[in-house]
Amino acid sequence: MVATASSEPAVLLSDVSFHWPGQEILLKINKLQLDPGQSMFVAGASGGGKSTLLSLIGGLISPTSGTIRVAGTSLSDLSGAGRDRFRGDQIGLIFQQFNLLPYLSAIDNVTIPVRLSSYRRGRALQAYGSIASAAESLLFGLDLERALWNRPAYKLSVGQQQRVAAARALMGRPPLIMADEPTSSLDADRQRAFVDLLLKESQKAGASVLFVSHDLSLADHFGIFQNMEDFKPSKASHDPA
Amino acid sequence: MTRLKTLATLAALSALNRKGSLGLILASLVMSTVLLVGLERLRTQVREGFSQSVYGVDLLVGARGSQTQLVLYAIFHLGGAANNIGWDKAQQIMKRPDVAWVIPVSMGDFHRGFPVVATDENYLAHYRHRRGQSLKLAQGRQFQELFEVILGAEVARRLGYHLGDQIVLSHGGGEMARAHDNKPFTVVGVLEPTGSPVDRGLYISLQSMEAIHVDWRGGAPIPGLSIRPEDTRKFNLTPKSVTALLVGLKNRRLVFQAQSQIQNAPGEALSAVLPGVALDLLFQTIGQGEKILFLVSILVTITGLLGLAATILAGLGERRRELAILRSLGASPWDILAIITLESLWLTITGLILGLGILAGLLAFLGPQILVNYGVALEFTGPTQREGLIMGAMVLAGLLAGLGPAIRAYFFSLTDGLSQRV
Repeated sequence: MVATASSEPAVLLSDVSFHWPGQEILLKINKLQLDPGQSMFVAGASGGGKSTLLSLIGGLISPTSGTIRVAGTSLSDLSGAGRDRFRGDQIGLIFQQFNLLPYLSAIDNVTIPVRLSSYRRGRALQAYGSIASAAESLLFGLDLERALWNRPAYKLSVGQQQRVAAARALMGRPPLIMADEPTSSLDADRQRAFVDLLLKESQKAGASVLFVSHDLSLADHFGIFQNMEDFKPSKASHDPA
Repeated sequence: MTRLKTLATLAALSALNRKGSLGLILASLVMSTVLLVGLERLRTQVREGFSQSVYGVDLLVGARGSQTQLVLYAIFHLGGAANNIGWDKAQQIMKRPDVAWVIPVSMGDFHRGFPVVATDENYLAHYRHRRGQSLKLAQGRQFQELFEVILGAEVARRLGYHLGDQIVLSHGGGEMARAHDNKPFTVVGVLEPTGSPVDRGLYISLQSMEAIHVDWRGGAPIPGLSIRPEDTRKFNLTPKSVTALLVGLKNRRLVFQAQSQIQNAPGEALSAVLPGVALDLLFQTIGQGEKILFLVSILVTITGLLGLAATILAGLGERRRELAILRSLGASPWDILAIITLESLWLTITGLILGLGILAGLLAFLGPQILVNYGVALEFTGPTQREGLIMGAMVLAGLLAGLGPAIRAYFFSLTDGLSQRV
C-alpha cells in the first residue's frame, strides 16, 4: 500500500548548485532522484554538506541555481511561508540528537506535526480514526513501551528518544522521511534495530526515506546508495546519475 | 486559530520548563504590578474615603484659617485646630433660617490615642458616612448625662471596652498628656462599624467637655483645685466655644450665598468651607506627589520588562535547538516570532494575575490596619477603568518587550535552517 497518490518522484534535484553568500560552491548536484517507497542512503563525512542537502530539500534554504521538486512540487514555486507549510505537510525529519522538545511527553512530541499541519492531521485521521490512536499505533510499532508514552522526553534514554522522533516523523504519513545521522549516538546493535524499525514503519506508511550518515555499515539496509563525494563541485561531472 | 493555540501552548510549556531563570523575572513583574496597581488603588480609595466622609455636610464652619486644615481636623481628626469659634457666634449660625441642622464639634481631648469629640445629639441624627448611611448604635444608647461616652466601633474593639466600663480622658494626645483622672466617664453606647474616621472616635456631650475642664485653665489643671464630678453640675456648663460646625442646609443650591454671608458677617472672622472643594484643593496638593510616585512605579515596571526582554534574549542561545526542531516540523520564522512573543505575554499576564492576587491579600491583611490608623477604607473591589487601562498597558508593554528577542529569534531561524548549532 503506497499512500503517495502521485507517481512523481518523492525527491528530484536537477542541476542544483549551492553556496553560502561570499563562499565557494559547496554542492553541485546534476541529478538526485528518489521514487515513492524507495529508500536511499547518502554517505558522507561530517562537514561534507549533508545537513545543507537536507536543508535544501526541506526548503529552509534555496539553491543558488537549479530546481528541487518534492512530491511533484517545485520548491521555488512556493513562498517562504509556503515552503514552511509544505515541509510541515510533506516531510518528516529525524536528527542526530536533541530531536524532542524536552518539556513535552513522548506522545505529545509525536502529535506536534498534526497540530501544526492540517494536511497531516487529515491523513492521520483517515488512517487511524483519531490522533491518539495514530500516535499510539506508531509508538507501538516502534517498540516503545506503553509506560513511557506519557513520560517527559528528557526522562527517556537516547534510544527511546530516537524511536519517539521516528514516530513523530512518520505521524500523519508524510511522503518523505529525512534522517540526519539518527543513529550515531546509539551502539551498533541498536543502530541496526533502529534502522530496521524505521524502514519497516516507513514502508507501512508508504514513505520514501532519505537517510544521511557517515556510517557505511548501515548502507546495506537501503535500496539506493549515494555518496556525498559525488556532489563536490570537482566531481560533479563524474556523477553516475 | 488551532495553530495559534498550539503555539501558545508550546510557549507556555517551554517557559514552564525554564521556571528557574524565568521565576526571578516573574517575581519582578509581580512586584511591578503590586506597586503600580496598589498605588492607583490607594490613590482612588483615599480620595473616595475622604469624599464619603463629608457626605451631606454642605458647609464646614471654623475659625478663619486654612480650608484643608479645617476639614482634616474636624472630619478626620488629623492635625490640630488653631482657634475655636465662640459659642454665641455658633448659635447665630444655628439660628439662620436657611440652616437645616448643625453638628457642633469640640475637640482636643483623647483617650489612649483615640480622639474625643464633644458634640450633641445632632451628630447621631445627621452625620452621614458612605453613600449617605446614618450612624447607628450597635449597643446601648446615646449619651444623656454628664460623664457618659459612646465609642466608635474600632475603639471598643481595640480596647476591649463594654457598656458600663469606666474610662479616663486625657488632655491632648501626646506622651505628656495630662489625664482628667478625677472625672471618669461611663461607656453607655457603642456605634456600629462604618469604615470611616467615626470608628476611631469617642463621643461625649459638649457639657461633659466643659465639666472636665472646670478646674483647668490654659490647658493645665489649676494647682490645688480638684472639683468632684458631682459638684461640676453647680457650674454653668454652657460651652464657651466649639472647634467647628458641620452645617446642613435646607436648600443646597444656596450654599454659596450662605458661605459668603457667614464669612462676611461682622464680628469674629470665620471660615465657611465647602468640604468637597477643600478636599479637591487637598488632592491637588498631594497630586504632585502622586504623580512622582506613579512615575517611579512606571519606571520600576519598565525595569521589570527590560529584565524580561534581557532574560528571554539570553535564553535564546540555548533554545536554538528547540527552535530548529520546531522549524523542522513546519513552523515558519513567523511562528518562532509568535512563540517568543507569546512567552513574554504569558509571563506578563502571569505576573499581573499573581500581582493582583498578592495585592488582594495585602489589602485584606493591611486594610483593617489602615482603616484603624488613617480612617481610610481600602477594599479589593473589581478593577476600576483606570486600573484596567494600566493593566492593559502593562500587557501591551509585555508584548513589546517580547518583540525584540522574538525578532532576533526570527532571524536566527532564517539562517540556522536545520543545522543545530549548539
